[in-house]
Amino acid sequence: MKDDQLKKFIQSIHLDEPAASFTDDTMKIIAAQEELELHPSLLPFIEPEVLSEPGDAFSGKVMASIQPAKNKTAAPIITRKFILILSCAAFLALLFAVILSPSNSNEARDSTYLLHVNTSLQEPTLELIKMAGTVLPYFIPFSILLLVDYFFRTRREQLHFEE
Amino acid sequence: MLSYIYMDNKDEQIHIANILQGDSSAYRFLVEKNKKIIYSMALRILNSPQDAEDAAQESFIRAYNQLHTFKQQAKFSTWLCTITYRICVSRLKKPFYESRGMDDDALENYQDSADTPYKEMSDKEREVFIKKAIHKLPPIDALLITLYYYNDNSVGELAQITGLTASNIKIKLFRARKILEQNLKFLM
Repeated sequence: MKDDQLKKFIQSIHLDEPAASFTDDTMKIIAAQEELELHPSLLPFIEPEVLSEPGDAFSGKVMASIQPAKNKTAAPIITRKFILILSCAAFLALLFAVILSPSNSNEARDSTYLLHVNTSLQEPTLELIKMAGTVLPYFIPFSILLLVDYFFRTRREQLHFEE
Repeated sequence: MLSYIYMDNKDEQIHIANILQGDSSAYRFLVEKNKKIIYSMALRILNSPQDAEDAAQESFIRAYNQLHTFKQQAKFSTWLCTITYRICVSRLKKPFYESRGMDDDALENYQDSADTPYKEMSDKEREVFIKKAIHKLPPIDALLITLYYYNDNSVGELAQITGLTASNIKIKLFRARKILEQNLKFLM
């Protein structure tokens, strides 16, 4: 059998055809795509017959997720609880300093109780005071910065809500 | 014949130009013109009418979306066949070259038809017989035969569509032709 004859035989049969609505369905998808200007990667999700619509709140939700950076207010580094702890620590440090200060210790010489406290705590407290002497110059400004940050940001948040 | 092909390609180019200028309805011409070959091609690979139709539709839509990248040095149908081939092969669960041709039941029917004398066959029966002879080929060979004889694709174009080498395609076409000649000899 010659190649031409084979070609004739093969071409004598009809090619398989898709459903009659194939062209219409394809054009419908293309028209919908044109109308909505969809991204090509979304095409496999589109039904040829009906385009599903999202809920009413859809646009709002999408825009909210796009725009939060604009209205976002940064939270303070420290929390209110941390401020309380910091305040307590500062108060205790102050109290301790008052009790152990040289002026107080002169007045307390008459008190046996305070004398007892003074002598029993003398060695460890001296060590603590030495340590505090090196830490406090860094600790105090750092705490002040945290507090300023807290009050500044809290104030900004209040202003934002008032707007 | 040449002038017909020239006119056909010119029509195609005009429609493509219109689509690129925003007239999406012009694409209907290209869908109508190529749907049979694309569907047949998808059917050869996927072996399921529903899957073939889905893949054919996806091919047309992808081609539409990428039309701006189409360089009109090649035929539109060749470019479209390349897209279809890739879509269909990606949808297969196992490699295309490992898939088998006709199943056993179909082969039985095929043998039944072969027992009927050629002169007693109607045109419809003959068509079914030739179709089955093509289906009996390994799927890749059947696909190449379909594109080579129906779509007038050259060996170079078939290489572009399937990603096979030209020499490999020549071997497959030669083998497929031999098998078809053997099976269709009695039609002479």
